[in-house]
Amino acid sequence: MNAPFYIRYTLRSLVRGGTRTVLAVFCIGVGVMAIIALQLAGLTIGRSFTDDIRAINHGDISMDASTAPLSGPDLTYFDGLRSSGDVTQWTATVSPAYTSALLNGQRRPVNISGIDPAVYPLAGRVRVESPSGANFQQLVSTRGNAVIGPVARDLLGAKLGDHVRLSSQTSSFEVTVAGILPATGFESAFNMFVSLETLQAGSTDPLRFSAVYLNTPDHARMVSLATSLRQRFPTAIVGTTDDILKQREDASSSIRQFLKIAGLLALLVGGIGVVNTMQVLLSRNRVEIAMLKTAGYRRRDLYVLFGLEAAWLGLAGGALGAVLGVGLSYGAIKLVEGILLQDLTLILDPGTVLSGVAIGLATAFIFGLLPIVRAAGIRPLAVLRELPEHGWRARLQTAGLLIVLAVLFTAFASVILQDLRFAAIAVTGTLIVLAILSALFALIAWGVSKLPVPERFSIRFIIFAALAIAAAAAVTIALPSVGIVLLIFAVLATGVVILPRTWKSTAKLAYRGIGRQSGRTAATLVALFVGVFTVGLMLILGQDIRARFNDLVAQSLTFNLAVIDTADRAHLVDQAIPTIPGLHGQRFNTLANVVPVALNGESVATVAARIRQQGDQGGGGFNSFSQFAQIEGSDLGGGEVPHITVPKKPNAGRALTALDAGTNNVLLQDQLLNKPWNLKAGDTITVSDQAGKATQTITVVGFFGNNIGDEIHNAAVLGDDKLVRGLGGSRTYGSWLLKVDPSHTSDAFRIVSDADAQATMVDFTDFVSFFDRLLSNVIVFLSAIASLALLAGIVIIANTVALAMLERRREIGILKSVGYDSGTVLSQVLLENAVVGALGGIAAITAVAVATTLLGRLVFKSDLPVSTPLALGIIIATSLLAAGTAALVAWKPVRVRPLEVLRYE
Amino acid sequence: MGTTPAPALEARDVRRSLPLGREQVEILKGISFRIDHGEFVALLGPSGSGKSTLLGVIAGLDRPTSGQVLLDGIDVSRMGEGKLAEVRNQKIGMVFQAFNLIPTLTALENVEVPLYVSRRRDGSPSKHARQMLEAVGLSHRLQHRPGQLSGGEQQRVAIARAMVTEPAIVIADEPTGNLDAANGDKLLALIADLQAQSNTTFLIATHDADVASHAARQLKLSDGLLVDGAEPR
Repeated sequence: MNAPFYIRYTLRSLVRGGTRTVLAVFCIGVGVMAIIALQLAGLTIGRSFTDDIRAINHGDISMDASTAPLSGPDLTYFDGLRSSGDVTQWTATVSPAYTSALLNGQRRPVNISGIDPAVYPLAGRVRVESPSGANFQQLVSTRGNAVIGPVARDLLGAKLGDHVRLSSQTSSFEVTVAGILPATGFESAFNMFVSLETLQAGSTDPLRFSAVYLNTPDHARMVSLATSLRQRFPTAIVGTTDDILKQREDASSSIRQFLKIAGLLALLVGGIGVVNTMQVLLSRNRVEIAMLKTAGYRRRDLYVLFGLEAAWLGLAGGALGAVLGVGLSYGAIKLVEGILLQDLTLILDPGTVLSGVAIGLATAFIFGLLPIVRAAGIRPLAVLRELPEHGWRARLQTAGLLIVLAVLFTAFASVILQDLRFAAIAVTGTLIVLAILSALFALIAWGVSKLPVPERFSIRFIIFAALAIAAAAAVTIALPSVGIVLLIFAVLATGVVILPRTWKSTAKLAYRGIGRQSGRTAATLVALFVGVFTVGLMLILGQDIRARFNDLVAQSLTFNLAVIDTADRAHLVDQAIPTIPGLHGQRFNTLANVVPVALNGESVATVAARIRQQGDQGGGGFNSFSQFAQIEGSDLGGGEVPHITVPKKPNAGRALTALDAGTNNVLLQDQLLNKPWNLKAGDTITVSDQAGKATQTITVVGFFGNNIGDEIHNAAVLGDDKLVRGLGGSRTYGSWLLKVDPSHTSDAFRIVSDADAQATMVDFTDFVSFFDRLLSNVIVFLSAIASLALLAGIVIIANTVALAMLERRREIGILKSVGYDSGTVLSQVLLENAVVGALGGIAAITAVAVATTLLGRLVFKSDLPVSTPLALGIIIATSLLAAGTAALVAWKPVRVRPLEVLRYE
Repeated sequence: MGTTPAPALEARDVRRSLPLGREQVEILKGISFRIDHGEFVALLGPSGSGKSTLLGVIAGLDRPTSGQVLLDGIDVSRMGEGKLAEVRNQKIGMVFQAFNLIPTLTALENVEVPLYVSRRRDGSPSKHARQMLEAVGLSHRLQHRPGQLSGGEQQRVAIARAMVTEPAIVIADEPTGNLDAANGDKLLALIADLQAQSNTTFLIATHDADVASHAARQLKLSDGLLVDGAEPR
């Protein structure tokens, strides 16, 4: 072995490879870029999720007491904790219910947070975006000042210096916007921060505190204090930094795992590109390889030679991917910030970045193995005399190599995922799916290659075309958009018969070309399918969810505005509502905030302890007592029965009827049928009013579903109006849901506000834009990941065409020698690849249609249609992409001089 | 009494069948001949007579269906791939009609290529290659790549490459096929000179009687059978 020769030979061979070499490096680079960028993003997310956990928790312990807000005297307990040394610092915040802000005649719902700026937050700092560099505490501490979150700012259209009137049921006061928070950060984007002093000055009632944050001297006291707090305040949600850390670690580990899998998928598809490209590179050198073998080179010499070639590609691709990955990670982090609404500082871990080179090398070796072994196994005579080399032995060898490739890639994935079992399942599962897809596509390619291109209409052809059109029409019934697309293509394929003779021959050659290397066509189709399916699914699902949400707000929900006011002022709103122009409907309910006391006679403290023992203590949501903290009332006696669906589950009971008027019978949201509550029809709940003076025991008679498209309810407990008024007393609220023409919503706001300035109004479409923005960020992020697969698909098309051009040089020469010009040959290549692109697109869109139909029926419980123009657009774009890529690659080869390739025949 | 040296090449009843559709067609129908060391032999036959198939079998690139091929007394007809590669490197030099030089390597490097995997360790590959290129009259073209050489020059590099390992036999398949008549004649003259100087055994396959006439002996092949010249004169 002569090392300098090996280095010289391989480097020059790669230089000679030109575009092919660039494509191979690009394939590896894209895969490495994806994995490095996503690993860096995962690392950054993980670090930011768990780095400043005290800041995220606003202290060592956070206590959400919104189910039973605390009064001033309750807080003396915390002073006692401080005196005893169990707590080093504590602070309580106030978040009044049903608060809104009025600016320039527009009233919008906001979260008012009353804080003590001297101590809030107990950990971390709140960053202020505007004025730049301002101090949050200083801004809030000035009486009459407010610092607002970005969503509140957007809803109100507020800017610094604006005077905003804030209202709740117990207060109404004016503040000046003194600061604006950034779009990302630990604080809620809906919040408006004011000092407790400002809030108290504008309130008629004493403040009631909904959250308490505490710092403890050490970890042991944090743990014991959290236990004490859970016992003392059973309905509160107590979270320590340990709890938050665990939740966040779980979340970050899931995100990191998802990102790693996405990266590995990109690497796998990129790897297919490497196999393809190296095959092209080595195919170009077949004669040279045969030459080396006739000169006495053994297989192992060639393994070393081509292994070195793969190593160069891996090094170059790895280095390129690492550099691009760092760049891409900035973009990925920006997108993730938009989704998580949290500031992230990119962590450029040198180890991760440098690992890109190792990943590139490993990718090149793993995926280069197949072409290298094949190339080294070339029989010189077969090459020099152009004999066929396809036999059962070659096929067996390929199958064996694919198994070795799968094992190696599994080992590689297990290193990246740090989980052998998961890697084995993920890789095996993916490869099985890819194998099934390949087999399916090989069959489709074979079928297309057999498509007839007759000289004229014949009975047989007419029957064939009629059957194809009928089949497409049949698909239209189940999957309309796919059926229409198939119908269009069936008609186009039938129309071939009326084309001019030269066009027909082009079509015939193109069809036959597709079936010639059905394995290779299948690989191209799989890559296209994966790319188009993932991008298509993101686009179509995103569009569907967006449309569905808009539908819900605009039509299905019947209502687009909500008004909340105290029941004693309801008459003011009642009088104003009929004067709203464009009003098409309304629904009125009463609401009462209550405090749960017992479930089936068992105190909430005992229930809470039992739930904690079962390990379901959770941080909120369906595990929280807050679900029992509000009851919605309907005038059952007056025939206003809630339009709900009783789920088809055991113990789900029945709906409320007019006969339930005047009783304590209630319905619960169906989630409460599940763990940890396991409630059932017949169970009882004891609740008290907020003052804790009057208690009532209510009886569960049934449950109601809470699916998309169901009627909106303000609470998880529904009962009779009289029951609610009895529990709410003077603190009973009235809730109006209104259906108003979108053009008259500002009139509605003005009229209701004029009638009662304290009434809170919500325009559901305000949430649409927020949701829309969030959804767009998610779609862009997922589409960006998905498009990596599409990118690899394009490279594979380029390579497939290049390989075909190499193999068909002689055929092109023959065609040209019998009178074909370059344009005709090129158009055949373009048509062939356009058909392949269209096939990949149709298959992907069909899969998207099936997936969205299943998701619609099983998850969203509604139709998620695929828009025909969008489906057609995606298919045509895929087809053009394939044809365009083919044109770029084939442009030069089709201009080959016939004599050049035929003279040695 | 001394032992008779083994011939450079000996074929014993070599047969080779190839599949044609579902049938087997016998291309070589029992070829036997012998070529002694230092001979210059032409394998003459029309297109389709089985010349290239026979060359493939002789060169260890293909296996006979039956029969034996002995190179320097070694039976290569049933050798494993690794051993065959060694034999090809040490005992055979191949020259093709289409030159088949590696386009990314210089003329010198192309000639060095067989020496990189050779077990011979006497002297540097570069020195041997230079000497060989000098012998074929290309000492001024050492650093030129194939694309910068004329057809005749490329074929001379190919001959140098074939001879650099000092093989038992150099097999040339239509070596003048891609050259014009003048260059073809020059090349044949060069081969004759090299053969005379180095006493290397040469076997040239051709369909052209004029080309074959440059050889000292002609093996005439027709329809898979050797019709003349099987034994040395």
